[in-house]
Amino acid sequence: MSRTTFYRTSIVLNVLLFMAAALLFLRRPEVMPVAETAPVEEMIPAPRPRATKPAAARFPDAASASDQRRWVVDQLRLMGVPNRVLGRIVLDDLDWAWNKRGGEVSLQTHGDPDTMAALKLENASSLDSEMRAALGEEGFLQWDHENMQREANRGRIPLSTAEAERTYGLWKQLQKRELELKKAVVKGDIDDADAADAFARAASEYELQLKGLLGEARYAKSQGLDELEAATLWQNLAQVNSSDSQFQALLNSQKSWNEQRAALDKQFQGGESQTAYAAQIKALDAAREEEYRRVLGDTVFETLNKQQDASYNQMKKHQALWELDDSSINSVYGTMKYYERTAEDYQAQARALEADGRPVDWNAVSKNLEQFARETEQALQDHLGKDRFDRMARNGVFQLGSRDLSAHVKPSQ
Amino acid sequence: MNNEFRRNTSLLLNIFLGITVVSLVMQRRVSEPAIYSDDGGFAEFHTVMAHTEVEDEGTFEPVAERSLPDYAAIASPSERRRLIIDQLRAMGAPNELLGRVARVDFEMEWERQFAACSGDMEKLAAVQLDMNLSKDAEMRAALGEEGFRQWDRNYMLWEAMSTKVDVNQAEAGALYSSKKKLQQRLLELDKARLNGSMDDAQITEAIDTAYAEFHGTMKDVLGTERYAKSQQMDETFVKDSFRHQLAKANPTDAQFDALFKVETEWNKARMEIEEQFQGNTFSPEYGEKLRALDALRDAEFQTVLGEAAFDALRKSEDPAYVRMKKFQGAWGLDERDLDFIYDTMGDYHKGVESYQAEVLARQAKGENVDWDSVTRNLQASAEAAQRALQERLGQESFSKLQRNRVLRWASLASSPLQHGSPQAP
Repeated sequence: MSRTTFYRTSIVLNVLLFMAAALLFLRRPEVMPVAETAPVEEMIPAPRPRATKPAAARFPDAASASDQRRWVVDQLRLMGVPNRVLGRIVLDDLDWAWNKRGGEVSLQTHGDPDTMAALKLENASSLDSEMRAALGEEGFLQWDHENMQREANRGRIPLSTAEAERTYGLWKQLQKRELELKKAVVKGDIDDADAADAFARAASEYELQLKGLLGEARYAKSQGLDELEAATLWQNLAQVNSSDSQFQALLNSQKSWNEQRAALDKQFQGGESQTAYAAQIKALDAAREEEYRRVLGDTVFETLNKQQDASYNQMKKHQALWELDDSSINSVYGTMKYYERTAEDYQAQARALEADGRPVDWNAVSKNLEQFARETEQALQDHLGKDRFDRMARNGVFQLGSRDLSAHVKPSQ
Repeated sequence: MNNEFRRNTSLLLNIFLGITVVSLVMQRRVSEPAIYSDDGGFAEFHTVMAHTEVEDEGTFEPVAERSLPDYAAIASPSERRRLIIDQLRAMGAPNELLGRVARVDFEMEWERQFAACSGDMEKLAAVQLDMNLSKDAEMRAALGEEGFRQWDRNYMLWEAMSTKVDVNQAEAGALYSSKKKLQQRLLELDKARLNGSMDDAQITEAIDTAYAEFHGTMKDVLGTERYAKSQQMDETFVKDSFRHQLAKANPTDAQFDALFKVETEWNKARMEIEEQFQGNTFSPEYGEKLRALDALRDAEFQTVLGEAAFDALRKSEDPAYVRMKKFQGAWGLDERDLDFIYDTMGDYHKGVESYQAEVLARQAKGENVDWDSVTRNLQASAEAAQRALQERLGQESFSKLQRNRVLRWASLASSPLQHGSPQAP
């Protein structure tokens, strides 16, 4: 090749290489945008990959399930996957393996309850060590502390490092005791009732120690019951646009109801005088209802009641499908409420008579109630037409008849 | 500038540009996903990585220059899942594991939306539906088309079969598409439930229809025998379960065959009664027919097995007896105590059953029933049995049995005479 040809070839090659480089540079993969503010739990630095046992670059096909889990965790951790996600992946893998094994054992033993209970317990007992093996000590502790916060500090009160450590210790101790008792039951060393008593004692001791550590007020807050109560009430009142002062007044009323109800339950713990218990509960409910009505006003109170009624909600939801207008819905709702109140009052009268020592013909009471249910049903059918009535009945909108006449059961809350 | 210098400069520029192009090509390859190969496995993903074996631990040390995605720096959950899955796949992780990682990450992405519902069931159902509706697309994006199909098909087939039966490629494909159709229909029905366009009764009916169609397809694809096996309804499985149930009686092959025939006929007759009294199970006639059927079966079992083996079998089927055997030591009971309790409670329950049947029959005839007296009689019967047990076992053992609810006592409150019956007094 002459010098001139060599030079020309080199120039052409330079132009081509320059164009290729420019093209590759312009079409290089984009850099991903950085996420905005990360949530607090993600800001907690994930435990570092273990220096002593670095992750393998290839998936260890022949390794044990436990080592394979550790491998995945190490690789994902290197990619910055947060510890809580790693914990969930490991837990999911363990659950899958346990379910698979449970299915096999169940087939072999035809679901023998003792064998299945022992297997379940074996899994629960190995959970910590499996999680520790997969996440490493630091990762395990971070994951387990989060579990403790979720269970023992539902109210998420701030805890000092020392308090968090001590709470964690107490919580683990209770967990250990529970496992010991379950093991003893599976082995037949103690029975279920004794195990339940022993666990109740351990739980009560745990509660006392936690109260001692945090103080009564912070302990109560850590249980998150106030927040739960407020959230439930807030949700119930959401659709009636109550004011802040109404919300607060009703929250106070609800707290007072809770306290009085707990006192009544304690007072009648022995199961004696169910009629008196039922009467007091009824009075307590009526007082709360009256307070709600006073705070919200009649109209809003009625609206709130409707919105909490399952049948009313069902009718509203399927209003178009069942061809119901608002007036029909209100009419059916009103009829059902009238039926419920009347039937309840009638039963209460019969129980009061019996409590006074006067004879009650329960057969006649039942027949009267049945008759009343049939009349109510007929009125609803006349109003709605047979097809629509049947359709709504098939969907369980009308709860009529078959009332429980037993005076032996506490009314449900 | 002389010609020699220009030639040299051009040559150097050739070399420099060549190196630049090669390094840009390498950089692109590192960020490309792995390619699914035709043979069903995942093609090797060539990154600039190497490993050195740590002899004592049998583990591998990654090279520091490994190019890894940074989870926290990738705003799009779909994108970060894809990058992570690609990396794990390149390292040879099996598809099932990749599916698990992608699914868990996807589910956790929805946690905040679930928490924001504050326990409101309607809102929770709506979020759950949104999550379910987007799941396939997200899993497909993370695993790639082939990876997704493999993962999803395995899961769908696992879900469809209680016992795994062998299927060929075409059958697996047919079952998968039928299961996906069912899944799609259930999602539509969930949506209809949420927006109120169908009521609960219509939805239940539609679900039954969808399942019937799916099982029909399964039967067509697998044939009767394999279908029955996949649903644990084949004779081998049923016989095996029955043999396990009879283990305490230790029957011979001939006895087993005879009992299996009795059991099959009993099941058939029982189903006929259930069908006949559908929605009317509080009728006295229903109870009577069931009792007669059970008595007939028991008599035939006793004839085939002999009294002692039959007795051992019935005890092994009684949860209270099994529990007493387990805690025998803790409750201070010997074998004769166990037999005494079993017999006493058996007599008590037989008495209560026949009394209840008698009362129901009187009520059905339109006679007035004195419920106070019924309660008193039931109470008296329970007290008599309790006294007998207390005397025999002593207060401590008796209390333990009571505290653990081993002994069941009939009361008016829990009697079918009082609850849920259209003819309730």
